Amino acid sequence: MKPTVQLGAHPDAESLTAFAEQLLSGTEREQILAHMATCSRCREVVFLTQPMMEPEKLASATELQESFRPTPRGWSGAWRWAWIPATALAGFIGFAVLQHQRRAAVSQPEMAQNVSPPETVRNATPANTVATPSVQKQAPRREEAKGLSADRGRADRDTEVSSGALDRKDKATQKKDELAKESDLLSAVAPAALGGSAHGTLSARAKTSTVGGPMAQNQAQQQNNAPLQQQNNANEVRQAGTLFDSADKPTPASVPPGGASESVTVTAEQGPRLASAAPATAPEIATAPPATQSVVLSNMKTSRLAEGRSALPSELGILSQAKAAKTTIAIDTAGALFLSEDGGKHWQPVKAQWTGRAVLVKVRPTTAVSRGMLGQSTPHFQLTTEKLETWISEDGKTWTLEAPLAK
Amino acid sequence: MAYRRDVDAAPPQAVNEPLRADTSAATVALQPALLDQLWGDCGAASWGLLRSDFDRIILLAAMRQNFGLTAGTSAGAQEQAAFFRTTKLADLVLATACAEGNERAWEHFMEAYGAQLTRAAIAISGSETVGRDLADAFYAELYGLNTREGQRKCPLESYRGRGSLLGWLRTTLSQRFVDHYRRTFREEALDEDYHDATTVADLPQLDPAIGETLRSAIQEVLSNQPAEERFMLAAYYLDGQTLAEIGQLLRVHEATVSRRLKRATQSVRKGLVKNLEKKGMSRRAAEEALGTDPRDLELGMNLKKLLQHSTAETFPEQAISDSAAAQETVAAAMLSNTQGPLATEANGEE
Repeated sequence: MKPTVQLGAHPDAESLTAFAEQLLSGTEREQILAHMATCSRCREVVFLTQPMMEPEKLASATELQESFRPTPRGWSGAWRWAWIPATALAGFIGFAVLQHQRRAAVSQPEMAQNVSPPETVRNATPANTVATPSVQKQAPRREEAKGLSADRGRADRDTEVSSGALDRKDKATQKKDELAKESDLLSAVAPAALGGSAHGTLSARAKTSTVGGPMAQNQAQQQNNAPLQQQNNANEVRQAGTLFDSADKPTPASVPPGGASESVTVTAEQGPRLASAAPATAPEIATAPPATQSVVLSNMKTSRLAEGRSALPSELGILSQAKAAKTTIAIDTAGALFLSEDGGKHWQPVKAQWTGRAVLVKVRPTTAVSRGMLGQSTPHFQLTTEKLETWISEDGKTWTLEAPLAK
Repeated sequence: MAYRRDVDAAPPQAVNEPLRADTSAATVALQPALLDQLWGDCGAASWGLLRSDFDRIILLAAMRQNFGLTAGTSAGAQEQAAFFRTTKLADLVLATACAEGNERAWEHFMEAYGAQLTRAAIAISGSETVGRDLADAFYAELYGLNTREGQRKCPLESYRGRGSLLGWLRTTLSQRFVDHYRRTFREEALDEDYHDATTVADLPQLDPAIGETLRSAIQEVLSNQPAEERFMLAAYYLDGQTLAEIGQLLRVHEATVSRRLKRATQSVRKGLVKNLEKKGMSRRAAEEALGTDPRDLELGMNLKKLLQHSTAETFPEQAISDSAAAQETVAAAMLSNTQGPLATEANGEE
């Protein structure tokens, strides 16, 4: 636009209007201001015009100012950048909830067990003979026991360790030792059906005929002696209850007759595990529903319970089972003992020669130390009652009370 | 076939030709597409303007302003479009049509601006009676009842569409009112207080040499100030406008006006001291000169009293002389006020 202000003359109404409406360019505005600085008439005119323009011009000026002003756009505008931390927080909360639910499913039986008094009785038997295929089989068993903690990564590692043990025999022993240590750390869930009457730690060790032998057995014995000195270890107690169902289950397809070799360490607790479900005087082993156990245990373990329940004549679930050579013994959740000589197809009840209920059976090889010579061992069945008495039998039918170990 | 060939060989129809007007300066040509777009944007068809009249008005406005360019410069299509974008086209067409005596345009004008103009006149004058009289006189003037050299003169002819038509009407109305006030102010009797206050004989006399030095120093220092700050100083110290009014006019906050006024005052005072020292005065004498009573400078007249010495007709001639007097008055007012604009305003409110 051409400047319309001439020196010595008043700007016309057009220019004054444009000045009042902020429509002038910088140069022309300076000219108008310079004129009005000395011209009272034009100042008067502009200031007289201004209040009338206010309703309209203020609205437009306000719109103009607000267009350049970072006005808040309501709550959504003010928090438009908050969605990033909000999303991160929501993701974290969701992850935490999932972790909590997963951990709660695992830790619920643990919490139930921790209620019980730590009264333990330890019965430990050294490992028996070793079978080569059991290296592969024992690792999954151990994995099942550990699987209660829902640690799949560790299970995979165990699988790798066990498979590696087949290929490299020298490393197998080392791996097994590591697995044994891991098994001590596992917080396996004791089945609620046990009522907390018997707990222990079982470190299942697989030893091949070549890997095994006196040295391996000595190692196993030494490793098993360590948990024996920790009678009040709660982890050992919890794992024992788990292994009632997992480690002692017969594996006819993989374990050759007479080849089952397990290094078993049992720490049994006396007294109730749950105050409500198992009174101190008479632990209600059978009253606790196996279904609780099925919730906690893995699917494989649940299926085993189902199989055991249907196999025993009592139609109850197998509480503990042990197999040596052709003979398999098992106790149901009611504490009754059954014996099978055909791999678990047919069972016959064994008359209880002890008082109270049987809570644990297992194979206990007679160690070389106990027999005074290395490399020779005869598997014995061991039975533990709810009174923490240990009964020994060679055929599973005739049982003799074993004197308790001196602490 | 010969007839058809002649027809085919005929030049394009005038509809597709640009609208041309040859002036002494340059040839103005508007493209039909631009005219169609402006016709649609203007909305003049709603109040009955013919397209031919619209084209003529647009062409006349373009010729008169040369698309906002300097004389002799021909505008291209983009410059033409830019000119009309920055122009209040609808207001310009309406004002031009009214100036040409278009009855439909007058009906629309009165319908759109009649009531607003009356309210504006009442607001300007501060009296409904005076305001209505002012509005009626302005209507008559707008309608072209005034003639000059036998020709009907309408103020709307001077409207060029830079600002809004309503703003132009208000400004023109304000100019009429100020001019009327200045013409009639002399007819009012001055009160006795004014006579007492402006009796020169009662004022203490200032050394003429110091007064002249101080006057020239004030003019020099104020001329070095930015135009906007000089306007603020004049509006605040001479016109008595409030900080809010000045800020509203300049579209700044009143706190900003106060800050800038304070800074300008300090700058003027520093400049005055330095200027007086340059003129041979000691610093102490310069400080004492700044404490001179403004009335000693014979510039103690109020701005409104000063306004009566000038009229609309005499403004161009008196503008320069008035500017010098106004600068001295501003400086005198600043000299009498050492507390800053906010303190002055607060004292005035009390």
